[in-house]
Amino acid sequence: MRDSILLLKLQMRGFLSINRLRNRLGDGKTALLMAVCSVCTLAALVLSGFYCFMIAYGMNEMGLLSLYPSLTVAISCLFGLFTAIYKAPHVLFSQDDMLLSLPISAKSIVASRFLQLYCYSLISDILIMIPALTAYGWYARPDVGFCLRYLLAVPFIPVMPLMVGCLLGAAVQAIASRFRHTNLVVILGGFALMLGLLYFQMQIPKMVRMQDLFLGLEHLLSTWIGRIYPLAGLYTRGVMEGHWLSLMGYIVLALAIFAAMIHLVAHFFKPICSGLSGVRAKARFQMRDQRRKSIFATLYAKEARRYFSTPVYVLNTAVGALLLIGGSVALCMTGIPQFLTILELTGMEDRVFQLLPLISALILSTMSISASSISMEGSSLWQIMTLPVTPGQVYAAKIGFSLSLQLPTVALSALILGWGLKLDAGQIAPLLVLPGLCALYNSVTGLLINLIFPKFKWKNPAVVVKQSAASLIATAAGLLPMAGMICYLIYSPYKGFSPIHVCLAFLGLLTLACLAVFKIKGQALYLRLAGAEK
Amino acid sequence: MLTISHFSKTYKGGKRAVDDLSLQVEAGDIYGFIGHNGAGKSTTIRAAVGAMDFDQGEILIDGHSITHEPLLCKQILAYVPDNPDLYDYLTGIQYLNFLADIFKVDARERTQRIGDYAEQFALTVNLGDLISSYSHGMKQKLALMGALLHEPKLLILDEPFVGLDPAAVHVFKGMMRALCDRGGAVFFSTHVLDVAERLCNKIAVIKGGKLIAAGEIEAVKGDGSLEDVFMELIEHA
Repeated sequence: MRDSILLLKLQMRGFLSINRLRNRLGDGKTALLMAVCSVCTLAALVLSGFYCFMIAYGMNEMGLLSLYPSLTVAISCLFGLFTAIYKAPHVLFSQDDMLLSLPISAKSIVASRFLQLYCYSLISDILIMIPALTAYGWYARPDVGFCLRYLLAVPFIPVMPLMVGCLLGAAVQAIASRFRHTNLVVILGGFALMLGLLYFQMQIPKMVRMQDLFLGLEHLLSTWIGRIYPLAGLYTRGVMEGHWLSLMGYIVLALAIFAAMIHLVAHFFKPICSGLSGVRAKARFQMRDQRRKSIFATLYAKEARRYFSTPVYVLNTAVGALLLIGGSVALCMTGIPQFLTILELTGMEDRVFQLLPLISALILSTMSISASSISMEGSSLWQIMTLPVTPGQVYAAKIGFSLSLQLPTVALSALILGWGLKLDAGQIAPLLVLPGLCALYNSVTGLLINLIFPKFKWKNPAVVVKQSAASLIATAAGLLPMAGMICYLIYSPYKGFSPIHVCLAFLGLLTLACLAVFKIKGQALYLRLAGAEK
Repeated sequence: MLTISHFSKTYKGGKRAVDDLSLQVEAGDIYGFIGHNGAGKSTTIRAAVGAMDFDQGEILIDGHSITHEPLLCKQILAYVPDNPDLYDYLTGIQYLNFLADIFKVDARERTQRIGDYAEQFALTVNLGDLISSYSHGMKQKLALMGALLHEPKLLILDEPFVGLDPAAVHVFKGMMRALCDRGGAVFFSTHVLDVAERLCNKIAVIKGGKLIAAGEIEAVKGDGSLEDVFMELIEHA
């Protein structure tokens, strides 16, 4: 236990780079750092609270408030599950030879890593469950006993999804590592999962319509919550109905699952780590004639290999492509009237062909590939910095690669919609031009933002792709203008000019502004990277 | 070939890593750069190859400023850092082709040079495998091969012998001498004083960011061994 806690303390120093920040800022500014962290936490709680109140309001109106606590538990579990699936292979099973050579048992190492993952899950759990209690308390006015039971159960909610997520994440990696092209298998598996989720979401309205005819919505919701979180029944009896034995059972079961997983994983720890980290080496290369490529082509090829060799990079950025193409197919199958009904936009038939390009551009904005491309150089940055290539050549390759993924997606989506909805040239053109310009805007601004906010010290690429300042800011920079234009189209009383033209002008100006920044400051930003690497 | 004049570098936080360092590497030199840990060797080298900006001074590669003509300088030189982090997601041959493309080495020449170097370093059969499967020594060999592919005039290395097996060390020493015989120069840092003593014709010793000795190796070490001279210089400077 002592060793596990020591290791956990060590591992948590790396959490959110807080220790590195403290070291850089110095003792005098630690208070400032703590203040900033507190403000961010408060902001996250307020945002979460907003959503919790919205859901509580809706459920209260539908007479389903009694299911609200279980629903929030299920949502918290889903967050924890997906976090664990992504993080487990890198956190739980990372091979650390120096650590393994120390007199620390495998069980202590495994326990500390599970505790580390648990701490990550607990943060999101608290950010959901505490505002949810406030929202539920506002409408249901529960007694003190309920609040005590609720708070007692909160620390144990992440346990089960964490265990399941770790098993799934490790299993995917283990299966993939048996194949020659491991990354390809992981990427295809991830795509299959995403497509499955998309298909499942499309089926829910049908299921709800059928089910609520026979079973009632309350029963349906409780059935689905039970399927997401198997311990929901124990939780409901313990927390909602006040059965202390059930609550103790829930807590004991969670602890038992935790302990059993540690014991099981510790037993197979070294073979699992070796199996997951092993890399194939055939050692039978024979020298052949080599071919020469241009500098752009070779830098582009390097970008492509970097991208496709990192499953989390592909999966995180390809969601937009899947949604756009999948959404286009779904729209062709449902038809425009149904589409407007689902979005509760009936009455917008005259503006739908202005709305579609904006929605396409909005979805495309989630594909911020270039926003991580500088940071993904990582510890290999020295190579590109010492080669005789201009910053312009490096930027061109990164922007070019980003466009080469986004533009075909735009073209395919426009082709599907044009064919499926029998659109004329005048209706297809905006579906190409606006999202196309958006792709250029995303690629250019993403790269610029990454140059300003690079992150080179990372071991897990997920930190760069999903959690870095650059990727978050770039996604916001892409989504906000599109969301603003969509709101304008739906709610604006002024119909004298087309939002498409406004959007084209706005994006065009922003893109030109970013290109101007590249022209003026591109060299300086590039040279600054060497300092950022330290 | 390499002229460093009054070079100084201060990091954020006020740490002066290198202070007013000047030295000259001429064509034909194998120039050793030695000093204790944290003395400023890597800082000097990184500035010389254009991987880092600096506060004061000038660095010229074959008469061209690394600050004002970086591309021209980088075409002439080749650099291998200590513990080179290569592109793990590429195979060895893809990595070498990448470098060859950047330096515009034509197809026939690169095929021949890759073949030769790979044979000398006994790395041929591994070139088709991902760099992530390479041992540290194999990565070091690959990085050295990549550095030599475009036949640079100036080779700048940061502890190049770490991780190399004895055969590879022997081969690489021969390559360094051949490069110098062709009119090039080598500037490298090392902690292995025996190698520096036998290989280098000139040496520079740095301590606490300041140059404390530089010149022909015989003049610097006198009658003693380089190790003795180094220890004396470090203690008394």
